[in-house]
Amino acid sequence: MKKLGFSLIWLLAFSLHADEAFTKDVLPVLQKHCFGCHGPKKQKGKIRLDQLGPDLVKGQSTEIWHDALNMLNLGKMPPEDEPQLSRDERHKLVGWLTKELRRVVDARQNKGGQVVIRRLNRAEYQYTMTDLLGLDMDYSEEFPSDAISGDGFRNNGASLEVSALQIENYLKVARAALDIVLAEGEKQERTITKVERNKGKVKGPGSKRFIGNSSDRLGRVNFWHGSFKDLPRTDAFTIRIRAYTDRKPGQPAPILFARYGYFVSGLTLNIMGDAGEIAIPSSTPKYYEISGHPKLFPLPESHVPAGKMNGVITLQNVLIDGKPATKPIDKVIEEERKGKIRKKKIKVYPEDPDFPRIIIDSVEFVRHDYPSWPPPLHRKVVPEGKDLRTSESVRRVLGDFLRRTWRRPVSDEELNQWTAHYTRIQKQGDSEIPALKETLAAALASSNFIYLSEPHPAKQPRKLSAHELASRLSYFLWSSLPDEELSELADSGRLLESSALKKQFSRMLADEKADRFAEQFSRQWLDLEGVDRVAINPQYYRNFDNRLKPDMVAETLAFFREILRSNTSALQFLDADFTMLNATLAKHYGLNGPKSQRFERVSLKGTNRPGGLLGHASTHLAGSDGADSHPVKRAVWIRDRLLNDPPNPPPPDVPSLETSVPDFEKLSIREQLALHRKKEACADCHRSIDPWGIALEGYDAIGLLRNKTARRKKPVSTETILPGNHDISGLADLQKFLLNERREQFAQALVSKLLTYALGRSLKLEDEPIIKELSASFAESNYRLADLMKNIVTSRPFSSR
Amino acid sequence: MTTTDMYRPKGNLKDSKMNHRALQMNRRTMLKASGASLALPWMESFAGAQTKSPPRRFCSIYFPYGVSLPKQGGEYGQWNWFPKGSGKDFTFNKPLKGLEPFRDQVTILGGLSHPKVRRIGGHDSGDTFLTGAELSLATTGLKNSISLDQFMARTHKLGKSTRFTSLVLSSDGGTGMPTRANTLSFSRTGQPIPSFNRPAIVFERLFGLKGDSIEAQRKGLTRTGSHLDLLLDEAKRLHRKLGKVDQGKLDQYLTSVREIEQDVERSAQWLRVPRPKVNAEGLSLDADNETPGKLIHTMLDLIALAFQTDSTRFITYQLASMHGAISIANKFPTLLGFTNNAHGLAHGAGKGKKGAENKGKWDRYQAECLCYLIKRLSEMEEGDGSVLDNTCIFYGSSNSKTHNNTNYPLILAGGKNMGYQHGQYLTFGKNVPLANLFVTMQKSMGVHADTFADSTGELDGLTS
Repeated sequence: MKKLGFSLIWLLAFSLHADEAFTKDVLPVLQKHCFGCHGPKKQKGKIRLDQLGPDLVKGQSTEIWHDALNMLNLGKMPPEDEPQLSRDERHKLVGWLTKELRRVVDARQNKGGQVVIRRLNRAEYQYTMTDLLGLDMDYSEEFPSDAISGDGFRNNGASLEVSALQIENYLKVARAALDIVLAEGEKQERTITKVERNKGKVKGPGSKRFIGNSSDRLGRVNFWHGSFKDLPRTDAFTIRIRAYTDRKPGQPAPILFARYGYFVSGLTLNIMGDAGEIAIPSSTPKYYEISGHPKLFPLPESHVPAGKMNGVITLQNVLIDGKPATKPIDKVIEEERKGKIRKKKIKVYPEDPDFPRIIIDSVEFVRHDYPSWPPPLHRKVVPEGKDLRTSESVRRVLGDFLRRTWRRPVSDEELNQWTAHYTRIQKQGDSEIPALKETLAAALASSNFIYLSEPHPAKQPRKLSAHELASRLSYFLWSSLPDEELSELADSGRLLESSALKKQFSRMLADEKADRFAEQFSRQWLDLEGVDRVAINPQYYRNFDNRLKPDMVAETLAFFREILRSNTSALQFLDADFTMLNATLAKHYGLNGPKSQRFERVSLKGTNRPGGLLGHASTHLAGSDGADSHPVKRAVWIRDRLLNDPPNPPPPDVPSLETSVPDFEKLSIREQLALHRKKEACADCHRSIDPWGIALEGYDAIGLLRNKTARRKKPVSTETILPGNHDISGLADLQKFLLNERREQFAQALVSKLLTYALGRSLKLEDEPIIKELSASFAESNYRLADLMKNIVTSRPFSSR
Repeated sequence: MTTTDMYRPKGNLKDSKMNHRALQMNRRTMLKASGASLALPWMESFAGAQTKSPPRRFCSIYFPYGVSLPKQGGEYGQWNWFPKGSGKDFTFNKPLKGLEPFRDQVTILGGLSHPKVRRIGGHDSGDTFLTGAELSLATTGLKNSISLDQFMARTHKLGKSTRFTSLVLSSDGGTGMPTRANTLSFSRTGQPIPSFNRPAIVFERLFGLKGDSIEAQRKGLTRTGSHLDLLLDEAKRLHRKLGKVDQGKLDQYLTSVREIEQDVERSAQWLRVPRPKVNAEGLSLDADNETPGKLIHTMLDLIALAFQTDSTRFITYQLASMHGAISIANKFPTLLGFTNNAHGLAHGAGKGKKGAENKGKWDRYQAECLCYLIKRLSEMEEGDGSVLDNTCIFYGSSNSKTHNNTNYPLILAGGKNMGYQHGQYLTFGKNVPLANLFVTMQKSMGVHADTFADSTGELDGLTS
């Protein structure tokens, strides 16, 4: 009872306080400027404000207040011929309305509790299927893209939807995968066919830009192109390539890229898919293997007779060393078309003698290539001695699979149901393996598989079960299901002991699979997709190669991974003395770096390249419009992603400054922004947004230093005043400011983002104390990410729901 | 060979440090040939019964951020999207000039908007183009309502006699999020319907080239049918154990499974009918968002082919989603050589002559895409006329300019056989809800319903 009394008083005090602010600051402004026309005497536009009351959450007045805010922001109220609000009055009124409306949004979003059940997102589904079946294929290709939650993540249960299309895809993909995994019948003879090179002219696969000769020596231009008869429709195959390189010392290893596909006799076109890439480092001939399965490649329609189907293999050297391709030479060739010889002008790309080449010795196509029979992947599902002959072994196989798939024990009732389902399918006329495939495919479309659920009908929190905790942990660190060791600890319940949990955390973080966390989290936290959404305008960046964009993203991904893996301070996200580069990106930055495409740690000491995320080209490019920097975009990114303090969204239908200021379009962006801040309606928000972006004005759309803007050739200035009257100039100052003045805010922002990702839900008011706690220990541990993650995993919200 | 050397980062899901033999199944298929050319006109529908009259079809195309609207007759007036004049007596300005050859096949509509949408933010109106819902947190909790295409295709079952009830396309794909949806289509319960954004996948779905034999497909469908009861059973059991909010989420699963149940039946019937053979040569099925010109035109080709083969009668296509910061299509203008991205062009439109012209040129490009579709459909013979005569195209934006929620720029095209009196520029007062046009359209399609969303009647002067 005592406790209840206390919270009542507290609530009362709180609302009193809110009312007080309203009465003291807001009401006088309303009385002075608004009630005259929207009060007891007059109700212009049928709007009366004086009776609405200040409680926007409980009251019915939300929409009217919302309209009022819009009117203020639009500059429509007060009307021009009435006295205008002073800056202070505007600040008070707009500030109060904005804050209260945000409270309404929060309250309504959390009405009736939070969504806890969450569907596996595309990445999680991809990794889960890969780990479950051991088969590496593109499982999520045809799935619709997942929604991003308000806080920027793709693993938020509330935003992830399910549709009929989605469920059909689950079935379809599972069937396709199980068709490959589960083998039927007797082992067939492994046969090796030598693939002969087709000689003559070849149009480059996938690109008409190249016309080269089919050759054994692959440089920048030539292709190896060969074909063979009797394309298989089923059974694993291997393409065995004996090759070496003639690279000179210090040159990077060339990369062999294979494409595999078919053509039908009588038709001229090759239909192919990418088969994979392999580095060829050795200068003595060695075998390199690319294995695959016909079902993962395009196949001719089912009615095409086997005799007419031919396999095609093309090999290509796809090493990128950062140097430009050779200049084309115009050439006239004779081409035969419909019996006539015609002359045709083409561009020929000569080989570059300084490019490390791949020399192809031989290519073989190996059919029915299994190390044992039934193949190992089959044995993962149907172990030796449980070959579905007896109902007991069927039950065992199904039970094991369901337990792994659903990440929890399976009840007898459930198992009975699924065994019966298997029998039913079998009775429809299937032999054991096809019936098993179908049953397992259905299990992979079950709500028990595609949702992570922690069933609990009541609103009060409860502790997670050991299996639920195991799933949370493995989806946090691996984006996938628990492995055997973790599952066993869940089975025995020992995972609930803090020491066992910590031990598992350390083991799993050390595992290579935790790189998935690094990639998934950093992609979403930093919104690296932003790079894909901007197209670089070739008018201003003539030599920009779009293939650099994935490299820019890779720099940031590798940087995050490096900080995580080296267990060093997360403050390096704000400023660091190194970055991660490959040959092309190093060249882009004008730095000495690796010679190959592998990303390596490169020191920035003694260079003018800034460290930390704010120095990454990915940040600059995503925060641009493809020609010039976009300071507002960059500013919003900093405040949202690094400081977890996103500015309010722009009010609707903002009147454009453009029309009211003569020659507005001739001003630089910076001058335009300065005008923005002068106009009261815009100023309130923009004063606290723009400076963050202006500090980065020294970097252009592709992340390089600049003096002038791209479009108007105006000189750029990076001088600005950050909140709290901090005069700064440029990125280095901004970094110092962030490290000195906003260190705690950044740390707390990162804690909040990580916690949001780990829990798969938006944070709420009740999470405040734990965020504070985690932030404090984060600071104590010198901002080590791994320590923070461990503390998250052992925190109360992580082990309860 | 070091393992890290093996992969170039490609920005996909693949773990770049996988420690086994290289195996990458990135099937960016280069579909080019597929044998025989197009067959199967609409009359050979699966029932075998000869349909008496040609099918009626509906296609809606949406673009965000409205259009360039400098003062008519003013210095830059020629870049105003709306024509000069009114009624039958009007002249196209530059952006819509390309429609001139199809003047008798189109009606330009001015002044219309969704009244309820005017109350919400101008950034938030994209989702409501075909629904008219008041998509705000306060009033609807950001829940949408059914879109016109689904209302006709599903609620009124006009989509039941084709292989696909409807086809939902966009540049971004999936569903997106409320107020920034990547789809124009919403179900009866206001659920967003995921859109397709890759031509190869749309082609595969419509005209399927993949290996499965009919027998195998039939077996697959039977199996799917037999799983559904068990899947439903299981989900219901889980449902009972959940809290209310979670239950709401799982309802999506239950609804979806039931939807599949109906689709399975229909697909099984359709198995007897071979898929229309469509020659993919000349289609750039490998187009992606780095090649927007190819991408958009391939999508339009696919729309035309889907209609011609009567694979579906309802198609929506969102050229870009609303949010500059989120839509991948925002960069399309830049890639196509325009001066800025889509959002930038829209906001620049008020900046003097250049601004109006730059945005106007992009409007013209988008209108030319519409022309392309009109032209393709008009060249496809059907009955005594063309596919266009039996297709109602509804093209436009739910902003007039930038983020303004009134006076939508709208074009109605085609559908001569459905009673449309084209060759007009009609303007309406602010008190006429856009939904009135929807009522006119649904009636012309054969829906016996007098209302849609907040309609107050029908639109005058559009149909005979």
